[in-house]
Amino acid sequence: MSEIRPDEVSAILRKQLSGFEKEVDIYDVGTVLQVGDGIARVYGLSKVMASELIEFPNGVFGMVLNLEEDNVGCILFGQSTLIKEGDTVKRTGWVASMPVGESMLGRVINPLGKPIDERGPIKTEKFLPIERKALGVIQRQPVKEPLQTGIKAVDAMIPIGRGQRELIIGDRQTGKTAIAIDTIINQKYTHTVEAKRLGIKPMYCIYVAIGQKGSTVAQVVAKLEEEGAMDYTTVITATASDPSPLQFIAPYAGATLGEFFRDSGRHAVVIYDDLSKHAQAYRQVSLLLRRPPGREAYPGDVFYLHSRLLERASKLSDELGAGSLTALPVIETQANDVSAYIPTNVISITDGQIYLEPSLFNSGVRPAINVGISVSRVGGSAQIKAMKKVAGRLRLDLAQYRELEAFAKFGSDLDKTTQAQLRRGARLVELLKQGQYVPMSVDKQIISIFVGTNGYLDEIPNAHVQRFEQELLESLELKHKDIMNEIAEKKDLSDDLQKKLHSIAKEFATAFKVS
Amino acid sequence: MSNHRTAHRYALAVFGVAEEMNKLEVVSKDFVFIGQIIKESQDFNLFLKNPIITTEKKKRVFSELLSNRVSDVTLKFIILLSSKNREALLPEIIEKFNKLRDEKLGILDVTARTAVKFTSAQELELVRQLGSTTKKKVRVKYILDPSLKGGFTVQFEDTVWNASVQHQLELLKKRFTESVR
Repeated sequence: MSEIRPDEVSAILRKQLSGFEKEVDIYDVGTVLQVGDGIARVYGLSKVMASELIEFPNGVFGMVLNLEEDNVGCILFGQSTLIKEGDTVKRTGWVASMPVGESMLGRVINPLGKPIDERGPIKTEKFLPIERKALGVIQRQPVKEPLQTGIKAVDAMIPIGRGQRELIIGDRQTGKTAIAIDTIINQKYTHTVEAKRLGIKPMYCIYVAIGQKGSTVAQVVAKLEEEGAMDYTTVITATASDPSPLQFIAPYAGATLGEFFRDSGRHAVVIYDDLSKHAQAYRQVSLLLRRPPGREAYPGDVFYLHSRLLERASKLSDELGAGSLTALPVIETQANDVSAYIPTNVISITDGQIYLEPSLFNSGVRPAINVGISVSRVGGSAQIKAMKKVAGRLRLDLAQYRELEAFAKFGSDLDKTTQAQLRRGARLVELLKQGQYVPMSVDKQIISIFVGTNGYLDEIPNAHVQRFEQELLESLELKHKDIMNEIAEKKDLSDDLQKKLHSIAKEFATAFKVS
Repeated sequence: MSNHRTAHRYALAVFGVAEEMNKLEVVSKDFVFIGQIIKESQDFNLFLKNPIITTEKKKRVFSELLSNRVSDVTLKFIILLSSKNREALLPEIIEKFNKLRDEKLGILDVTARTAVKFTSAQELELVRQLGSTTKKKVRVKYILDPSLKGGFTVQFEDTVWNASVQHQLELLKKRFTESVR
């Protein structure tokens, strides 16, 4: 800290002391009856509101969850060891809130909005309640702008629109977080001058880590910093060692921050990583508060818990500034069981899901997206025309390939068309493979898929598909930058452009040496 | 917690009966008397809580001990309590009964903590102020608390009026640390 001059100190002292002889302070109090495991029961506080913030001794805060006949059940946002039976609890009169503002960008904070990255205080002017009612029908409009994830398989077949809620679901170690991180990294282009010229509005990102290992979160933050993605990103973290009440409010805090951007006419995406741990944290506090358990011991309102959270994602109407808040919730399944309680709940709430499979992951298809059962129910209207044109065929070809895949081992015993379909499918699967942290711009994606669906890869051995793609894109960048620019600008593939692309692809395919 | 509720129910019943028979004064005086006994005699306290002594014996003890000292209603109530095996709740019931009576008569229990002893003029002023804001008769209990350093705090129900120097100092500390951070 910088040095403080003595005269400055006395000036501040005088200023503060002038307000010393103030009026009588009036507040409501209660007494702690019982405390432990992150919850407390309080006697008194007769006028307290549900979800009001209350103050315990030693600077610990809590939130009221249960209002009962003769006591108040609340969750603690600090260590319960600092509180003992008989302590006095004060009402604050505030519903649990967090500070919001642009200065949150680039920071790592806890769910109460306090910085935990040791980069000093965050200056904000505004406080917003953590729990807010989602907007009504009138204030919304259908999604129309695309949120480019930079992942070929997603942007082509499971397009996500700004304001959509798209679930990322899969077992552990299938690359769920990788998709989320790639999406954040890919938003970097929306903050460039180039994007501004093309009318693409900047996208702000919020990554909410719930119940994860501290080391994992640190890795994510380090990666985002390395890629320069922290400039437009806030990381909200409640790690596994934080009290479960903090884990419980973390996604709401993320939504509140996202809503701040949305309501000021900007665009934000918030990633909840992951909601199964969130449900578990909520189950813990609910059971400790003696709410009756239901299926899988989750409380009865666990559906409402997630639906009210995800309902806050929205695309605002033009009158309200046309901002958007996209939600990408993550759910971890156990042994591929999507019919468990929480996965089915969240699947039914969201506008589609990206389904990741360990078997695909292990056979080298990465990202391990199962295209057959992944859907986006509303994103189609947000996809750009050029992508729509090339991706239609892709979906069909892959579906046919999946049907025939079982026969693949018969090899040459099959008729010609089947063999061709198999060959095409294998090439497309190969084409959709993509490395981690290398998101691809939409014009390049379109060209890649155009080449794949038009059969220019069919004669190239599987092992060389990726090299082909890479070299083709490189040569296009060098020789035909105008074509790429035209796709990016017009967002459409005119017949003329298609003709040009056909000739370029043909030329390149004949010149491509398999070696 | 469940005892708490049971005591409330019994207190409500005896309060209702006493009110109906216009014997609120008498009964509350009886309860003050019994409260005194409970406070002073450890034996009586243990006797109330002892589960080994049969109901019959307890009833006999109650009638012998209280028959000429308390009113009929009170005695009947205590006999009823023991026949229901709830005599251990008696102290709590008395407490609840007093609360109900205060509520009915518009009396507010106030705890005032003061750093130095109030003069009678100060006490009168406090009672007047409290009375005018709460619109109730106040019954003030004074506690001397030097840790307040100066000033006083007043608590009634869940509300605290804090005019102590200690609290002001705490607020000041908070303000300072916040502006430094």
